[in-house]
Amino acid sequence: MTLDNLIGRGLEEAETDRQELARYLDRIRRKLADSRQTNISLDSRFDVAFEALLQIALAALRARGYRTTSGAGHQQLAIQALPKTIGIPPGEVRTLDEFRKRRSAGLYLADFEPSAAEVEALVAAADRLQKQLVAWLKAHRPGLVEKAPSPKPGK
Amino acid sequence: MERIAATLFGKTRRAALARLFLDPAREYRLRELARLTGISAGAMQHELKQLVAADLVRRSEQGGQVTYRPNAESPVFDELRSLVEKTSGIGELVRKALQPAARRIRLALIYGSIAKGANRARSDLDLLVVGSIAFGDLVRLLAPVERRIGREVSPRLFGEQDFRERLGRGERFLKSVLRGPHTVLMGQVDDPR
Repeated sequence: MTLDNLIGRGLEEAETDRQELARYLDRIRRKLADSRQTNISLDSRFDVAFEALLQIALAALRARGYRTTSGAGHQQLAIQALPKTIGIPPGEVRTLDEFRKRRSAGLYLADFEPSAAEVEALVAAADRLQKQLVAWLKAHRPGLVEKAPSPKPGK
Repeated sequence: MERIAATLFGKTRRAALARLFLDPAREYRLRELARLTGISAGAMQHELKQLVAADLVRRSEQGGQVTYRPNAESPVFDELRSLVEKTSGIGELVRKALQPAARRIRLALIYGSIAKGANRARSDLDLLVVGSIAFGDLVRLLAPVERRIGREVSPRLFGEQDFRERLGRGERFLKSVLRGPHTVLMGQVDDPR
């Protein structure tokens, strides 16, 4: 299954640019920082860390020239696409998807209160993923992350 | 654990029970059961006949199709399910899968729909683990079990101290898990090893 196979089935093609990627990366950084705050509840830390994880997966799709179309299952799709977008080992997807299921159980069924170990695991996973995203962008889409050359003073 | 099952049951009975109790609500045809267990159809038929005669397995006939499943009305259904689960069923599969990380696990137990014996084909296997194992390692170790049983294993992980504190203050989730049916696979609830 390639990403192109998913066009019309949850994905569509859409170009991105440096400004858009920068917005994603800024939000991801802020959420990761918030997820490490120990003066808020474990629930909230879990939620905000999951949002960071999800935005990493979405940013990875954007960097590849795709975006998810609205509809059920787009979170799962973005997470499962990670091996295709930024080359994470397929074995890691199962863990990330487990976090997604937990977050849904908490959000929709009020049936999940994370333990400290689970919050730490998610925060660490999101943190690792963010580094992988940035490394991938630098290696494969440097134009999307390099600072724009500052305009030289004209003559 | 396998030794216990091998002592109590012959090879064919053990294979039949392990498969039947993997999903006690599911109906199996004879040939299907033979194929899934690798036991010959003749031997399996003989086995099922005995289990049905003892009322441990229920035989149903619908539209000329004969199917088998554990008899939930049997007076020893719960005990047998628990015994099979621990010694050769899902519980044993999970316990074996976790064995490489045994030193980082103080307690592991199955709870929820499967432990109640009401496991529908689609429900996840709920597993509670207490210890210092990393969440990602836990999920990785359980991946082969998921493939084998054809459903996802959903682990909850608690550090030992966190677990004790939650137990101490009677946290809702842990209370409902421990009050409900559950099967301990490693360690002990009262005193995680």
